[in-house]
Amino acid sequence: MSAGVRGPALSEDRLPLPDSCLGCSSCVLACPVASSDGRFAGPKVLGPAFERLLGGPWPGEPGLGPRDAEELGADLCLQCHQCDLACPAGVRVSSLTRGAKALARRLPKSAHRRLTDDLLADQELFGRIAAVVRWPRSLLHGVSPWLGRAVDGFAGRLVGLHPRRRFPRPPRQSFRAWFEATRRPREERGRQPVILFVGCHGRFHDPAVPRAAVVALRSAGYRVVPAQEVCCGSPALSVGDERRARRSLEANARLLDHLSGRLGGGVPIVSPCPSCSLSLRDLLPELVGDRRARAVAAAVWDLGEFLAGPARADLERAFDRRRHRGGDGVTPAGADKATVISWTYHTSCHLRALGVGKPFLMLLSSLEAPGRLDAGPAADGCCGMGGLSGLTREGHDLSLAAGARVLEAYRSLAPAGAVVLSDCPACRWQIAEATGLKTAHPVELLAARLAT
Amino acid sequence: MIAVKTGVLRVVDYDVVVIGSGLAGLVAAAAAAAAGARVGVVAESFGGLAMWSGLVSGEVPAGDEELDAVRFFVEFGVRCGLEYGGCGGGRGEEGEAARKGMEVLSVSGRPVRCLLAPETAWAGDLRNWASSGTEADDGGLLVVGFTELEDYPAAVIAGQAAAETGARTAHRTVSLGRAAGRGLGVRIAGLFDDPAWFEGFLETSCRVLGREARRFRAVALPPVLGLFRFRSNLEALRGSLGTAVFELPAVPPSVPGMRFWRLWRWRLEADGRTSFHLGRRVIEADTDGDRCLAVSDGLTAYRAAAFVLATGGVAGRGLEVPPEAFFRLSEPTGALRPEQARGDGGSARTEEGAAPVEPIFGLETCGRRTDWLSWGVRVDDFWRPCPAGGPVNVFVAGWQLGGPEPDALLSITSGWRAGKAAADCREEGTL
Repeated sequence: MSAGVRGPALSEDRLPLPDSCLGCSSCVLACPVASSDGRFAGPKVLGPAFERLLGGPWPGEPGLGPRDAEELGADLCLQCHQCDLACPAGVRVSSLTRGAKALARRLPKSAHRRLTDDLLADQELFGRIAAVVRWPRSLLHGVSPWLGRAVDGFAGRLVGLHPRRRFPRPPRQSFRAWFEATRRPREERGRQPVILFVGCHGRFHDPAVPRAAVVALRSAGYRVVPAQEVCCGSPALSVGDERRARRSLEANARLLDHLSGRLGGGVPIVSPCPSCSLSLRDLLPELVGDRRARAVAAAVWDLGEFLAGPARADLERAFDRRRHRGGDGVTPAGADKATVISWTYHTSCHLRALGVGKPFLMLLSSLEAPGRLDAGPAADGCCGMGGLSGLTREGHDLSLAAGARVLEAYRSLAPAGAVVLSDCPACRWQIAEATGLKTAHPVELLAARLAT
Repeated sequence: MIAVKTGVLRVVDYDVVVIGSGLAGLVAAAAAAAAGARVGVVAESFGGLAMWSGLVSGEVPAGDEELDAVRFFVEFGVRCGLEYGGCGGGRGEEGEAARKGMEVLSVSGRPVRCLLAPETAWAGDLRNWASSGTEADDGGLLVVGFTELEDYPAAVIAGQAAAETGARTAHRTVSLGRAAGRGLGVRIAGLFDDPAWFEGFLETSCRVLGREARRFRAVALPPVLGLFRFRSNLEALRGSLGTAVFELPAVPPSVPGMRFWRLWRWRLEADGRTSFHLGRRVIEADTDGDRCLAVSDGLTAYRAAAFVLATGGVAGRGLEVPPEAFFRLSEPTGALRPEQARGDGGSARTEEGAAPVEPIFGLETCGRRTDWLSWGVRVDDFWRPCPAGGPVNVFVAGWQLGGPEPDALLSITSGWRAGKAAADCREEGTL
């Protein structure tokens, strides 16, 4: 099963060893699903306890099987990694529950359910389909928004989306096209290169985020090189498809290593999506584990971590330059106080699992971005979306229940019309839909200040 | 990018890096941030807070500096939305009575004298409900348990409390309904954070307890009344039961400890000066001469002008205990390896006639001396680990300083001192 290999991210005692589990239930308390769904047995049972009983309670007796995994609710695990953070004994609980998920996946399912799972797991395919139908969709939405929504809704039902969930509007221009159009190779000569791992969401659905990331990184004086990439494998893991995840991680290790080598080696790889960063940094060494995978993983930064870390001084200088050109550097030039956006910051589970703190919040605080609101301590938790599972017919209600406390806290900000900033596209989707608030990636706020 | 000796590629910079996010680590981070430093907290998890009852026991601190630390703790708590009170620095209590602290009932049914208590336990002060001595005053306490919370025997607590205080006590058990499941403290606290569920509970509890509760001065409940909404929940219960309501401090897994951790961490992060790197274990340190340059978790190096070592006692997993030498300390921070307070640990606990234990600085500040077991990191007058010649920009805080029992006051005072000293280091370059 899931005997993970130690990567650079795992210190010696962060191995998925079930026998280190003391049964203290700290992981159950950290789990957003266990507290909101009675069908889910919780990370302690599905992780260490399940792993121990796989071979049977006594020698010669039958062990646990796919049916048991399903009965204990293995497929409800969101792979949010909060159990790993809570474990005082250093067990990688999520690696073990992933094993149980993979087991439950072997059970026969209806063709429709299978299609939903496969499409969710394979964001590469899903994204390519979205890219192909982008033009007809744009046309349709342009002719009649009502018809566009109706067709989107029908397509959503077809692939197993919950009726309340809607596909995002098709982007006008793909990220690639924008990037090629704005490249200034002569200006960028001699600058330190940074590889941008765009992520499926940015590549196929919302190019505004990688665009803003490019603007911020360029302002800080880096030469941005978008990665030749495939999906990071995180969606596949969230439905328990380890094989597919390993395949895409292997492909990414190969592609990123090659690109880094071409640029002179040791080039930082930056991703604006914390799930991609987590997948490449922590799961790549665990699931692939060869030397190349480790080298790639060690070079991966979350975008916020990079901007608040190595790039911070340069970024602050860029803001200073803007300040000299008028404006205070954080309010767009020409804007008066009335147009200051009020914002609040939401931490995604995978960002927390990365162990990098809340770099964008630090950055925005140190740049004294005005208009900050605080949703209070109750908002500091899981929004319930769980990657993509909250989009499905089966997962929708659970996702709202698991995120109830957090979503309620953001709803209290609705009268102020705050923009909720979050690094994670799934969190943004959930919060926007459940609270009616606007959402954005924090780098969009930064880039808007830099670009004017 | 700067290559540190540890060979890791990723470097992040702070003014102060605190290793550990238990009580001492949080207080140190808060103190350093209050002094204007950018703070990075690198920790595995919440450490010893999982086992903290939330009470700060002990005598009134002797020195002004300790009192300052306690005041800082109380004031920062107000900003976090979790008030602490009971001593001179606390709110709502003044004068001689305040200096004595308060005496609250613990989950064993025994009164515990404590210096500071969280707001949820204030009404549990013995002066509030135990007999005042006059015959006419019947005072009394109703201990309420939850059917689903088996570790909390209301009958035993009530009986013990009656024996200990001589006051009139009674007990009742209320069911929380099916939603509570198998009943784990912090999980139940999650239910109490759900306003809709709490409405229902309020109705049930009023029906079951309503008339009876009024005949007692106070009602004691298990410490599970919500991680966030505890204040309004207590208020609502007080209103509907018509008498004082408080939480009995109990462990573990500790709701008071988790509540504290979440609220302090949230406040520190929201202030924008502190970053929490959780799930990260510091495994090596990079030193140059008499200064520590960076610590690393094997993947990322955290560089700072000063470091606070608050990795806890054995319970906090900060101190590694090698199997061959029970209770010998070895810090997991490589070159920062501090010297043990006693040359040869272990013998004090297991062998008779062991050499008398040398008290260390941390223990003395609390006006307490431990004779049967004392271990910890030996520190100099600036709370830097000895021996002299070690890193001058590393400060020690918390249980590592020793002590036989979880000592919250030690964590608060040492955390505050270490955090302040570390922030000073940033300005002065060196101490």
